[in-house]
Amino acid sequence: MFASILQRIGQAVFVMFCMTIVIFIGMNLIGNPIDLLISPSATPAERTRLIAEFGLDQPIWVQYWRFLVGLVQLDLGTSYIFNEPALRVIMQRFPATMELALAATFLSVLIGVPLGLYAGLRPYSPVSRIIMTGSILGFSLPTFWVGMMLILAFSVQLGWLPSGGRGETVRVLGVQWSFLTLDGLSHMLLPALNLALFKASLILRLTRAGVAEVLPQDYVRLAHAKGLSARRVVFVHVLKNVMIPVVTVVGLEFGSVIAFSVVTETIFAWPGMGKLIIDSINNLDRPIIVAYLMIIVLLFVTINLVVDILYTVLDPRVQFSKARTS
Amino acid sequence: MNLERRHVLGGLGTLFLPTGLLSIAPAFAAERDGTLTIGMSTESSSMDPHWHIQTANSSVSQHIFDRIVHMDENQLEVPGLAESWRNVDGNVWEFTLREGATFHNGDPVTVEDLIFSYARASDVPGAIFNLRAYLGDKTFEKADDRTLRVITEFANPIVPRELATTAIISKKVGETALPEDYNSGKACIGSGPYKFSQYIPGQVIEVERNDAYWGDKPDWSRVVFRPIPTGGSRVAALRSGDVSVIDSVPPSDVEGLEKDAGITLGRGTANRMIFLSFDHGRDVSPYATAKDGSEIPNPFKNQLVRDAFDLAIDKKAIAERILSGNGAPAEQLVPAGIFGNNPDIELRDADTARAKEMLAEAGYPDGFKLTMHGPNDRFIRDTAVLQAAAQMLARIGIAVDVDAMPANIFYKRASGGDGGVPEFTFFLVGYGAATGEVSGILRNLIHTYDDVTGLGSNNRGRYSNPEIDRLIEEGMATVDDARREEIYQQACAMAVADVAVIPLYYPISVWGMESSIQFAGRSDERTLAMDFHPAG
Repeated sequence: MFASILQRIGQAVFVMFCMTIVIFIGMNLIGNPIDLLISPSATPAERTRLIAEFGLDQPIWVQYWRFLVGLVQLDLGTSYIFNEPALRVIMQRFPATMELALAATFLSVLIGVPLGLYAGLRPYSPVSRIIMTGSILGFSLPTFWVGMMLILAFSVQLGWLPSGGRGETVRVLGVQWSFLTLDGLSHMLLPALNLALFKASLILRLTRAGVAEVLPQDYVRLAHAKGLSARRVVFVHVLKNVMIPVVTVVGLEFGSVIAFSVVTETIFAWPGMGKLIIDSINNLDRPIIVAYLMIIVLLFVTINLVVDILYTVLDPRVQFSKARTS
Repeated sequence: MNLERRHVLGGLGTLFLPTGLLSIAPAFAAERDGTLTIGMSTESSSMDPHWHIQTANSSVSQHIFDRIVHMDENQLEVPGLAESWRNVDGNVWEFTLREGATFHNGDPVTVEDLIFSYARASDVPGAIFNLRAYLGDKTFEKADDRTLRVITEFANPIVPRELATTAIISKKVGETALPEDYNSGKACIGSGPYKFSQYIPGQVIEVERNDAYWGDKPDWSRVVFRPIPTGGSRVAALRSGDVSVIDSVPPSDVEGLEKDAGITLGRGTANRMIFLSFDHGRDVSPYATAKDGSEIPNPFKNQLVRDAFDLAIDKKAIAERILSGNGAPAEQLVPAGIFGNNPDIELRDADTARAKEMLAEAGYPDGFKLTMHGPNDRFIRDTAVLQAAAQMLARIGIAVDVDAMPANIFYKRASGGDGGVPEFTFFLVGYGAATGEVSGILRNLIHTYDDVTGLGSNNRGRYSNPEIDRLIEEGMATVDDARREEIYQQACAMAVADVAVIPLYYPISVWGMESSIQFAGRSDERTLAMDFHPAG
């Protein structure tokens, strides 16, 4: 197991290295931040001076070498926009995204698994049909639109929940968290629900399909024949076997919520990382883009690792070192 | 299966229960001496007032930091930390410091603080949009305890306006401050009407009233800025009472909010011109070809063609229909009320028939082929504006392709690479000068491009008219305001007659607010709590 973890870390480092090369070449092709940000009153001499100051007049491989030297010293550069180290800018926004992603994932499991289980167990009941139709809506309605509708319904019309922002936060371990205050929770509910809707539909359908597949199997029949309570059969024998694909999807979806929740974050003015990366791309703020994508790669590798460990817990036949490494 | 339904659904009830209990919507109307919450479309990128001079940063820093000269809502100079100033002799200015102005830490504002601020503002490491453009030609010295002497290289009539760009910080605090000390608030100490209270990036900026302020005390004891980048969410936040004021009301929401009894809108015509620029420089321009794609001489060298384009494009229609009133049709370089606006220049009515005739006179009876370029994420509905202009040009026989691209790609190509030639033939750009009068646009956009002097630095079309150049240079050295305005007005009239560029519109900034709040509008697009007043 230990060797396997080391192998994973090796893979992560390699992917991150490739990432930096791609970003460096890509950003260089697009343009330079000077042309975008410079004062319209600046003289050409001033422009040339700035380009030299930022080292943007150097050949790309020199810039890349400088970046690698900084990286070894854990210095990812200073943001062109915020005048703070790139890593710090991202880390300031990371907790907000993290707690929103956790809340959304929690909600989606809480909604998706029980509903999927029900629809799988009673496939022909009218309630199941409603659930399945509802899940199609969850899939197909665009997040942007649903977000606006949630705001219109719960903030503007009913006035129950705030329309956006993060609300009151509490500082724990040097980081601001919203979920510890009632006000913070009320701010988090709508964006979390917005993010959870698609995922809940996905989990619901996976669970239902899994249940339908497991139910006719011999071991389930045997469990019933042995006279186990329906409750025990469903929650121990059926659910546990259904969970493996669900855990994989929850893991990957969790990663993508953290990395790409930009739409929800923007609509609800949630101060997370999603909006940061879009702004940084628009402003060609290279240090932030590089640092952000490296963190995301690291995150996905970690999530995959956690998912693989969870497999071994759910299914003793799976050995960690042989688990798939996708 | 004989599973009881409640086993599965039982747990779900808890999901739907607590929403009602959690409702704590703070829907209080803003009151005098209370808190004003403002929803901002763009977030200030730093609390360092010298870091990046863009509207969002300047809006926030204006609350905490004073300048020696302030700009009123029409961008006319009014006394700030300097109670008066005078031009001593062409290139020498003297500013008399106000007595009794103190920083938030209690220290008095001294001439040394001013000199220190200008030195720092010209040299913040890593700052791209820095203030050297406004401070570079000046040396500062202390004449006496209350007098700052400013000496410029050449006679410069707009020294007070240029100094109005730079926030004054305390020398004692600033000397030892690190960049991050501004964001933490430690070094965020100015002499302005509000004091720094809290800054959480992406989330909130809070300031508290400075009761020791030398000038008029603002009506709000606390101001909270919340970044809400999505237009629809900003409007929803205003409607639900989460915020009392928002900036940049999206064009599509203007009509709906106007009907809303609880909300009023405030407007200000921005001192910024969005325009179409021609390639005047090259003999053959890459994106203008004959209709079969073969090379033709650059048609925009011909005044008749430029005139025909100007007549073909209906600016009123663009302002009314495409921008839904979030833009005023532009007839010249700066809107009325701004120094240098020439009241004799009138908006030309679009005239397709006449435009077609002119095109024929110029030797293009069948028109030609043209690709129009522009950004698609910079101005209000920029792509739609490009397409509308393209359709209007199609009516006079020009086959126009529209190529809109993200600003981060567009500007590099529009300006050209290092010392390179600007790429486009006919393109949409904008210009607004922080000095709030016409000279910026004349010297940077209309004056001939000159590497050495830096004049014409934004003249991407390489327009050149020696006569206008001479006027601009004369104006730049004329200290007498009335005389200078006359010269500039003449230069504007000539540039417009020449169709150096096609002015399209001046953006109209629209603010939304609770109907109990009064607000007069501003031309510099800044959102300042000091401008908003509770009724009664």
